[in-house]
Parts: sequence; structure tokens; C-alpha cells
Amino acid sequence: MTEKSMIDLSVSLAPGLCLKNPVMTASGTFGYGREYEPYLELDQLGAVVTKGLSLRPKAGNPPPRIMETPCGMLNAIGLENIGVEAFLRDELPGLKAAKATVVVNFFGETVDEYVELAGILDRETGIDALEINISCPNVKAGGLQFGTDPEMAAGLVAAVRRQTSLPLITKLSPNVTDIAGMAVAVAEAGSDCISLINTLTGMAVDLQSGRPVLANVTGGLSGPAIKPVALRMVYQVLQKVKIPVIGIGGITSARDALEFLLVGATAVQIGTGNFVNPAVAAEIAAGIEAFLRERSISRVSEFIGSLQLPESC
Amino acid sequence: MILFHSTVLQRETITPDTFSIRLSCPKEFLQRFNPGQFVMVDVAVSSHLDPLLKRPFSVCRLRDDSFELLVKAVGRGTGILQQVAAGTVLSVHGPLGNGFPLATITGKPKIMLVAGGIGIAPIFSLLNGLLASGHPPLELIVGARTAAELLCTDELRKRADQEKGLQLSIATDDGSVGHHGLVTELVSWQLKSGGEKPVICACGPLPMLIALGKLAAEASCSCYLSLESRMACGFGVCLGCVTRKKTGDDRHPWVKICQDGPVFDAETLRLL
Repeated sequence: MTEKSMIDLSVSLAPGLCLKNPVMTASGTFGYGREYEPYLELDQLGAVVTKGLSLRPKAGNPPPRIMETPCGMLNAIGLENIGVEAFLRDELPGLKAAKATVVVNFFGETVDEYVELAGILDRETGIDALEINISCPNVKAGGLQFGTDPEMAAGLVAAVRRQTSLPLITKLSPNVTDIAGMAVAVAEAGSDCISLINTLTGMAVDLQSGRPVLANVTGGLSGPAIKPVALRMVYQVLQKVKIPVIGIGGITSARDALEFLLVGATAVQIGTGNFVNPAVAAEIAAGIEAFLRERSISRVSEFIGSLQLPESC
Repeated sequence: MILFHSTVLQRETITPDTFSIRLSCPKEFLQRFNPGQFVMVDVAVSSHLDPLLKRPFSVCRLRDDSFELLVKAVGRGTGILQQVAAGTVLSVHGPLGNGFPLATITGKPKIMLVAGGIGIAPIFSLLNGLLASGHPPLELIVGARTAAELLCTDELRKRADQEKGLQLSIATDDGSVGHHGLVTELVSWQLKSGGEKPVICACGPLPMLIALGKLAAEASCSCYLSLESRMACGFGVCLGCVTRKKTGDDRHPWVKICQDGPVFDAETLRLL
């Protein structure tokens, strides 16, 4: 038997941020990474993106927090997290030991909070990149405000950029009229790459009780239901920016991931799919490799962005 | 906890809206299982990823090569399982969460098991676990709205006839069998009748569990409650199934039903 030919799955997201494959996990769906160790090897993934982190621990919203919807789910967790101190003490060492590529998603309520947190994370070893969350729809202060106003977003990214030399990813909200405009603003402000999309705002009501299902009334929609929206937004952003884009939204299989790569995403993040099958991220990485081998494509970078558009576009 | 493909070996109608379903599993599952633990079961039988999320169910009974769930059809997911054909292959994740603390409860002078409605499922597996391993005197109190909605009663009666240390009481809301009223009334009388203080293990509707927690606290009895919740993952990452703990502060008010429970010491929770 001949040895399988090597497929080069590596992708570069920024100077100093090269992933062994394009499959990352989406913040808020992968805990702090180690919860998934019974199901996959963290170092098999392109990167682990940890649960959104704030300066201090955050309780999040009261229950009910989730509701299944057709081919998707609504959540209003409200950025519950253990805070940066507990993360650095209790979680980061395990991620390092597992040799994971670690991207820390973080947020604040003010520019100063974002900057302070970026500074703390910048001083740590074992963190490979930061993902700025300017797009959570489920909290009242901060978050989404920065995510819907291009000027505020650019100001925030520029301030964080001055604070850290770590590769910076900015995660965009789809709840805007001009996603490409947001992307251009954060790219010009110094973001190394862009990840999109966060959840779409949604709502569910209960006819029986006459009340909203979620205690927060509205929530964020994720899962396969939002994949077409995400693909469209990745496509639109890539028309306007030169920096790498990470596609997120309803990816549950290698085929889904490959669709984002075809459109031009350099990498993808798996979110809600992790809940359904905790081993899915590793399966998707293996599935991408198998697809490329079948097509005799030796590097994933050759496949990325190979979408053939009709001439009128 | 393991992820595995499971074959539906049997599905049996029990009442118009409840059914049992027997699912194949690896030996490792049976070895790891503790009564009170649960499984997440894929219900996307006919259409891939629709419904999207697995559903949580308490395990009711272990067999040699399989386990059984007792399910009440209440929505789309359970409705699909109610129709599922033998031979269907489903993805299953489990056993998940923490079961009842067997070592602690078997060390007490008396155990009171209380089940309301479909809450009999984990209590039945706990009963079997206790009967198999030796136990102090057992008091089993089961209730439902009507006689027709009582579950597993034939089998429970048989167990009570065979086992000297097991006493069975039944309550129905409409009085069609047993005590005319709530299981919590039976529990209250038992606690007031004196004798050894029991440890209470219970599963059922939330108001029943809240009432039991109060009764146990008043009588200074230990009380373990099995809670249920919607959950997306079942293993502690989605944070969708939190409930308030008693000693929490503003920044750490929650426990996760999936991972910290589903069985909790009632003392540690602030239900309502």
C-alpha cells in the first residue's frame, strides 16, 4: 500500500498566526476547550476559540436561555463567563498542555475595559490571537453597540490594536444594513482578520402562556438556518476587504465548511454543531482533507476562493 | 460519557401519551451508568439535523446490552420518538451528569423515593440499583393525575410484594387509585409519624420538588431532587440549563442542571 499523499491544510490568518487546518471553534459553543477533550484532540483543530471573556466574572441572563427553532436555536446566555483571572489561572494552562492553538474571545462594556483586558491577555504566554467580540446581541451595554456603528467599531479596534501585538480578529454582527462597511472600518483600524457572522437577533413566543419563551425576550439565532445568510455576508465582505475572513454560521459538516472556503473564507468556525455532535469539529477537518484528496488538490489554499461567478458579477 | 450509534430495539406504548423505548448501547455505557444520569438522544430520524438538537432523557432501566427510556410525548422531539420504528439507528451521548449519591443514601437508616408522573423514570432506575445492591428500608411513593396515568405500577407492586424492605404508596389527584391527593401529603404524614429520619430522593413536576424541598428542610432530612430542563448540549458548554443556587452571589448565581445535576441536594438550590 502506498502512503497517502500529504494534503497541506494549513492557512495563514495573520503574520504569526498560521493554523494547521482551517477548522476553528466558535466562541460560546466550545467552553474553554477542555470540556471537549473526551471527544477530540484539541491540537487536531485549527484553533480553539474560548468563551467570551470579560475583566470580571459575569452571570449572564436568567433562564429560560435557549429555545430550538426550525433547523436552528435561539440563545440569550448573556455572555456568562468566569472572568479573566479565573481563565488564566484555571483554564489556560490546560489548553497549553493540550497544545491547542488558542484564540481568546473577549469583550467589555467600554473602550477602556476592552483595552485593559487586551493588555492583560497580551502579557500572557500561550495565547495565539485575540478575537474582539463587538457583536453579542444579548447584552444591554457594550457589545452590539460597537458592532453596529462603523466609527465606534473602528475606534475600538484601533484602541485595542495599540494595546497588543497579538494577531487581532474582529467578530462582526450580521444585524447591520451594511456588513461590508463594518468590515472595511475594522480592517482600516488595524484588525488582522474578520470573523463573521455572530447570531442573528430573533424571538420566540409561547402561545400557551402568552409570553416570550426567553427570559431576555429576544435572543440570537444560530444553526443551519442561518448558513445562507452567513455565506452571503462572507461573500459581500470579501468584495471589499483584502484581509483574511473567517466564515461562521450553521456549519455542521465538511461540505458546509468547504462552501465557505469556496466563497473565499480562509478558515471557518464551528458553533452550534458542537452541541449536537461534540466531535464534529475534528470530523470536519478530516472531511475537508478527504474532499481535497479526492479532487487531487494538494493545498487547501488552492481551493479557497475558487468560486466561479457568472460573468455579469 | 460516550458518543455512540444506538439501534432502537423496541418501542412500546404505555399510555396514550407515554411510551418506553429500548436502545442498544456498548458495555462501557452500562458500566459507567449511575441511577439518575441521563442521555442526549438524536431525534432527527427522517430529516438530517431537523430537529437540530438532541433531547435529554433520564434512563429508566438497564438491560444486558441496552437501556430503556420512559418518555412522555410533549412536543416535536418526543412526538418523533413516539413513532420511531424498531431498527432505527440514533446517535446517543451519555451517560451524562451526576446520578443519585448511592453511597450517601444507602448509609441512611431509611430511604424515601418519591415520583410524580413521568418523574418515575430515574426513580425506577434508582430503585433497581438499590434493590440490586442492598439497602435500608425503602418507602416508595408514586403519584399521577389519574390511575390511567400511573406508570410502572404493576411492576412496582410486584417488587413491593417480593421485597420485605420495600413499601409502596400511591396517590392520584382524582382519587381513582390510592390516596386522593398529592404525593407530598403522603410524604408529609410519613415525616410527621416519627421513626427514623429518611433521606428523600425525588423526581417530578417542579412544584412537587419545591414542596418536597421545604418538607425535607422542616424535618431536617436530606433530600435529593432530579431536575429537568431544555438543554442544547447536555455536557456543560451551552449554558442553556442553569438554575439558581442557594449560596450564589451576583457574579456566580447558577448551577448547570446538565453537569452539576441533574440530581441536586435540595439544600443547595433556590428553586423559585
